[in-house]
Amino acid sequence: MSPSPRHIETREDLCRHLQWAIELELSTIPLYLTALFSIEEGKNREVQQLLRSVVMEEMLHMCLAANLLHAVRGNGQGPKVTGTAAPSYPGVLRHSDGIEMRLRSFGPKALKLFCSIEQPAAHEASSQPDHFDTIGQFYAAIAEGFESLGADLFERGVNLGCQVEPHTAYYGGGGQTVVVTDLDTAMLALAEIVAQGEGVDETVWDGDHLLFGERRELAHYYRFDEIVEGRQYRPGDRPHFPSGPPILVDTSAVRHIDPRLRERVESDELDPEIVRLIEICDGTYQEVLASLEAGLNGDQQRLIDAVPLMYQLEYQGRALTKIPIGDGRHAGPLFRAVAT
Amino acid sequence: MSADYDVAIVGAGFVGALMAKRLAEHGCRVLVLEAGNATGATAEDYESNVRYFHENPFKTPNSPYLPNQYAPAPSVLELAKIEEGEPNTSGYMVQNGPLPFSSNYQRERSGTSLHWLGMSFRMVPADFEMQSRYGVGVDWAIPYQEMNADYEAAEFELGVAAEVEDQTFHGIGFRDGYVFPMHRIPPSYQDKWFGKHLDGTTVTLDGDELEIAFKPLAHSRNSIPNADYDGGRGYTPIGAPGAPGVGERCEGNASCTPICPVQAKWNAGKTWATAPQELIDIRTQSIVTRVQLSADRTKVTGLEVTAYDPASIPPVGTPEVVTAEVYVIAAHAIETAKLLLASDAANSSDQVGRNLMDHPYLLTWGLAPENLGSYRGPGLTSGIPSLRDGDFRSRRAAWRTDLTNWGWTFAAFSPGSDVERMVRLEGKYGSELRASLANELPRQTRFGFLVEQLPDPRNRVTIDRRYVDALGAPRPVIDYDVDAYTRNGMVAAREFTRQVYDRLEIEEFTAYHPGDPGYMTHRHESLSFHGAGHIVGTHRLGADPTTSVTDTDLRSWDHENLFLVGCGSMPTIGTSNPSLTMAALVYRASRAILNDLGKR
Repeated sequence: MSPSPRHIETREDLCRHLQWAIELELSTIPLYLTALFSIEEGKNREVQQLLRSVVMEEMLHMCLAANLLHAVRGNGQGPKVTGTAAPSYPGVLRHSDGIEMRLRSFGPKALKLFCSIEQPAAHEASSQPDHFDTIGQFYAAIAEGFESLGADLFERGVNLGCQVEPHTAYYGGGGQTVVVTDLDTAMLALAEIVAQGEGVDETVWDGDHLLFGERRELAHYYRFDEIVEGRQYRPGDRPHFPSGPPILVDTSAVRHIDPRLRERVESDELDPEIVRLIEICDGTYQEVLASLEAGLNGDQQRLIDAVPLMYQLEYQGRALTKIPIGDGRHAGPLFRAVAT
Repeated sequence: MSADYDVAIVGAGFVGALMAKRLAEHGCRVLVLEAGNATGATAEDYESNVRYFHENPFKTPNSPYLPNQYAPAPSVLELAKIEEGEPNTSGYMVQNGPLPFSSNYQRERSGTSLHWLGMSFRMVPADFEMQSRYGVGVDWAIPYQEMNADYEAAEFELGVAAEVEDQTFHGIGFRDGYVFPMHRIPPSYQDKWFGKHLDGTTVTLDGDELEIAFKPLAHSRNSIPNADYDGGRGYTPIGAPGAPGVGERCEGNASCTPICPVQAKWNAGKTWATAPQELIDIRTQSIVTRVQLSADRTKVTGLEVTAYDPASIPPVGTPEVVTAEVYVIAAHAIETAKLLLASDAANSSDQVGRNLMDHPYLLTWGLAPENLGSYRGPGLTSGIPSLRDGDFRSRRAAWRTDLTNWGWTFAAFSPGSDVERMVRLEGKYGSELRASLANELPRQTRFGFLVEQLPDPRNRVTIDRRYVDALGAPRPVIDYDVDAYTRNGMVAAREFTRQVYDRLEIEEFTAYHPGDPGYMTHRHESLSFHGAGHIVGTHRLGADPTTSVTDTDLRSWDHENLFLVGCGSMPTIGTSNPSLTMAALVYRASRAILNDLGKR
């Protein structure tokens, strides 16, 4: 592999990185969903709420990255989320410094992975356009790319109809989409992504209250850290020292999805009926991705259509986690984006 | 001596929430007294109600909530046929008959919004002018046009999803450029199937040729916000209070009546959550037993309140008196009438408790020749507004009809009864049983007809010392009948069903049994009705103190600082589900109260 460049210097390079950003955001969603589906309905309420809220924000980030791409791509390729653009599990988080992804039930191993994905960048950390240590450093490189390429990137009105507008088919879910038309709106969109994930100015808070005047929420990393520490953050708390009420996790209310489920499915170890249900769920996931791809390229109706498909995905995914497959392990969704 | 609060409201339900919020937004200190529990006050408690409903084998409107002996409420499970001269006293309401009053309500914080259908329709102008147009019923003393701004305020607070083009009929007029807060809930596959075959055709009912046009309904359910709302400022849907990101869109759950699992359907909890908390005190488990009057009876001087707490010993506290500048009774049509009668208040007209109305709800059902996708989505998504008004109203009741997306459900206890029939009578099991269910259930279709009633002073709520609840408070005693005008409307509804089903080759399965509580016959037609939960008319507004209980500001004619607000205020019921009109009346009364208090 050739050594990665230190900076994003061309429009094409910026577009490539924005497509990577879309893939990066998409990569995280099946990880969080699998953990969410593994928790019994009505149990571990705080954890379920937390996972759900993070998933919703990752969807927003994907949407913001798509808007950024449309703003600068000119006649270039629009956002892709289907086929090989979608990640495969288990696998390495693309363009990261080797973060290993595996679909797991909610538990210490899953939490450790989530924290490593959402790890905040140190204040003095440099930007990293590839092989990044933290997502913040990756987005810092994109932000630098926008700044160095400057206002010339934006052509009035180009691909505007492809962007997802706030308060229309896309609404709710802990943040708003931003239509990107110039450097200022591009920076707002980027700030939203990074602040929700890692926190602002080395605090644990996500910045929505600063950016949008919304209710104060924890950044993703610290939402997971609350569970690791077993305690809620309160205003004024420093990172890793939450002082709020305890969060009690009922580990008996988690169904243990076999972490080697995919290997077992693909080596024909499992009952064909279970394999068939998993494939149906894969198919739903593929439909979600196809609708999203059309929706993120300006087809608003497909974006609307994607919503009931997402619910379908949840129902099927949760149902799979209820199927025991021996040794106290359960089935679960595999999120295979390419038909097997 | 200065009063404890600017305003004291009896009832923390639908009206109580809307009014407390509006008054507090203008700086009033508001006390709200609620007889029932604070159920559903947190997201977690709300979810526990959802679970309780799912686990409860009886799926009635009150099923998600625990019964409460200190603030009892009627239940559909206690309905029975009434034998002449023998009132049915087995439930909370004492039913003198001749027919059972079949509607109920919820005595809890957020009130009946905890089990309502979630439909928000404006009434049509003719509903306000029944006497002058058709020579039946009464006219409202409020000109219809005066309602417009208050309807808009109600549509904002109740988060209405609809399109103006679908809701413009029979003279309903919207302001130029007005849009609803959210776009419509999409019509179901079944709706489109019926519309495709019937739109633009006519039915002939009782000699009148009437045009059919299916239209989507107006819901208080979250959907896609309309970016043009509020002059282009848009609208932000309000999800489940206390559960971020939940309930911001209708997910099409097929159990949203009575209880939407995600709170995408509006309930008063959303109004409590967005009201100025610091100015509103809600005291639940606090029963107002008496309205105290000044010696000259021109003013209310206080409310006698008894608090209870089942976890305390003794559970029932000693009565106390609370005071305010202005008093509002918003305890639901039946409870408000009960309290006024028990207090000998506001009744110089002798109209308190009278003119009780509901929409007797007639169901007809059949099996379509093809799959209609039944049992998916919210219960109702389209209706036929074109049939809601016409000259026929001089002879028979009009009705609002809609299609249900939930098969025969409570018309025939489907799908459980279908399983039982197939297993016991048809001997099916295994894959054959599954195939039969999959073949029949999605073809089940059902019409529901909300048939209007006229105000009749003999249909009434009274109290009787012989009938009291656990705390010694009077239970409502109901006299109720369905007159020939309404029965004529029901007969027309059956005829409508036959004509439509014939044309679409739908096999009719409607069957009413003489043992049904609401069974009756009329003009050789058997009929049966359920309650619609639209309890209207017991303290009607008017222009004449001798025939109405309040003026058009909903102020008692008898006591200048007492307001009576709710569906009980409505002089006619028309063919709209009444909640939106009730909400609009809240804003009307609120203006008068703010004016009195110098807070405008």
